[in-house]
Amino acid sequence: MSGTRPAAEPTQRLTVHVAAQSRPLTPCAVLAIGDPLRCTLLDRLLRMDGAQLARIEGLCAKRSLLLFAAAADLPWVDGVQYLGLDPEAASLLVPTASRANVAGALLERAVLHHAARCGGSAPVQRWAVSWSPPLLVPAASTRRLKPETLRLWRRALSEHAP
Amino acid sequence: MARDAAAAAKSVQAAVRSASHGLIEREVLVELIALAAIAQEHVLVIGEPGTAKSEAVRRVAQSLGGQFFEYLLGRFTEPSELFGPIDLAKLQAGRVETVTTGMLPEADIVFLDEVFLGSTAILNSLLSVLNERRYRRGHSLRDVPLRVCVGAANALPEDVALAAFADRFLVRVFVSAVPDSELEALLSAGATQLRDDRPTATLAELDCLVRARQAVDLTGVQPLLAHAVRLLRQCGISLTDRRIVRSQNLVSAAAAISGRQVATRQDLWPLVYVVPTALEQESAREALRALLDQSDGPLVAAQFDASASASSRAGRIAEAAEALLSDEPVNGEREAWQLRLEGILREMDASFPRDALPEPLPGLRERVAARLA
Repeated sequence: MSGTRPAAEPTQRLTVHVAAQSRPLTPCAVLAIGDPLRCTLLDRLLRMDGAQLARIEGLCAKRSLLLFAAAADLPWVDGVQYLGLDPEAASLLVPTASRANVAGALLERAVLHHAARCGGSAPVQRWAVSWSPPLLVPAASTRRLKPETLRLWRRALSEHAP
Repeated sequence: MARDAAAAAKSVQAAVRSASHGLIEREVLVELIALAAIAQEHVLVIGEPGTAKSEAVRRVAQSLGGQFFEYLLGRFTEPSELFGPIDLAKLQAGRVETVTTGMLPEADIVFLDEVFLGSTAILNSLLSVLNERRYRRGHSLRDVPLRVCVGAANALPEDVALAAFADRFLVRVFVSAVPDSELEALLSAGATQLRDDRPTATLAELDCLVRARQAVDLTGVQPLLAHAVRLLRQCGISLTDRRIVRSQNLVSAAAAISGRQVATRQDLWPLVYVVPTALEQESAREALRALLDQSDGPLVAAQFDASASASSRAGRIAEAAEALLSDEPVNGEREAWQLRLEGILREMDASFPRDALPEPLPGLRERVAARLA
């Protein structure tokens, strides 16, 4: 026997295709990707009355703004994506109107594996998934939205604008 | 006759909308009760107590101007509590007859809660009422005016004998408590008790639709129905021969209320509600999705629930959007109206991928968004 190690298994890749969902999921979150859309959504939130704003939690990530609320309280601006809980994968929030051609459990495992490789993510963390543009957003550390927080985020985005 | 049937269809559609008004998440049940009445079939509702089952049936009866009879059965319920007491005067003359005034045999629409708790005597009497629209007891033998009986229970019976009785209820509806997203609407509807409970249609119009249904031509859809049953069998869903044959009554009823004299693929959606259990109905929706994707007609909530077809969903959203656009407030309440417009846009974007909005939603989306600008 030679001392060589067995060759590593080639990485298996599965291309994810997306199609329309036959029965859309109930939205429980909304995702805005990119600075212009995030600014528009923040402006919308700043116009909201205090009672409705108090029912929304959110986080501002590097490229996205993710908000959680009951469906009727989720704001609308043109271009946002509505997300719902994947019934086959409790850790994933996926677009309500589209479904992937892979089983939710498989997708969830791939996402959590990816999170573990990136370092630091706890196994039970929830992830928001966007198909287009492809993006994974860790949905941890959400906070109740206050106007001063929204204005802070808005200012930070304006300062980054070219 | 066609003109009368068309007018009757419009009237019964209005009655259904009136009965549904203010009920949260019970539009499907109301529509199916009306459909079953036209089909001369009966409805079994499975759901927890306190889920507005009896309220839905009562409203249909009010909207159609029918005599309503409601009873909660128990293990010790006597037949006389449903059908009436023995006529003592006639008994003295040697005849066993029943005084049915105000009781089930004189009702047009009946609701029986905990229907499977009834004794053998009650269930046997009910069988002839349900099957033949005839009441038999002793020397009492009479036709009953019953249009539809709605039975309710917490769960489907496991007893084989009761399952045979349950099979007489062709339409199965499974209701659950109002979801989180509708709680505010439920509370608001509950606080606002005002509702016009005057009849919106008449039993004569309902009977006109029944006659129209009996004349509907089913020959074109029978091959499709047979195909649907085969698809269900492939999924392990088995329908009794009785249910398969009688499902045609629901299909012809769907055509009649839509004003069609020839049943088409658009009328096949009630087949989902003939499937006996909730889990099997979910499987049936998936199995029949392609076959039902052209479902169309005025019973929008039930069609949408059965077919989940994109066109049904789009139709429902479009109807709500047009109603809102035509109701723009002149002064005051504009903010509340705009919030409702946002709700329409949210539902559109949450229901369909942006690049796959079915007609007429793309143009409607622009019109609604323009009003928000």
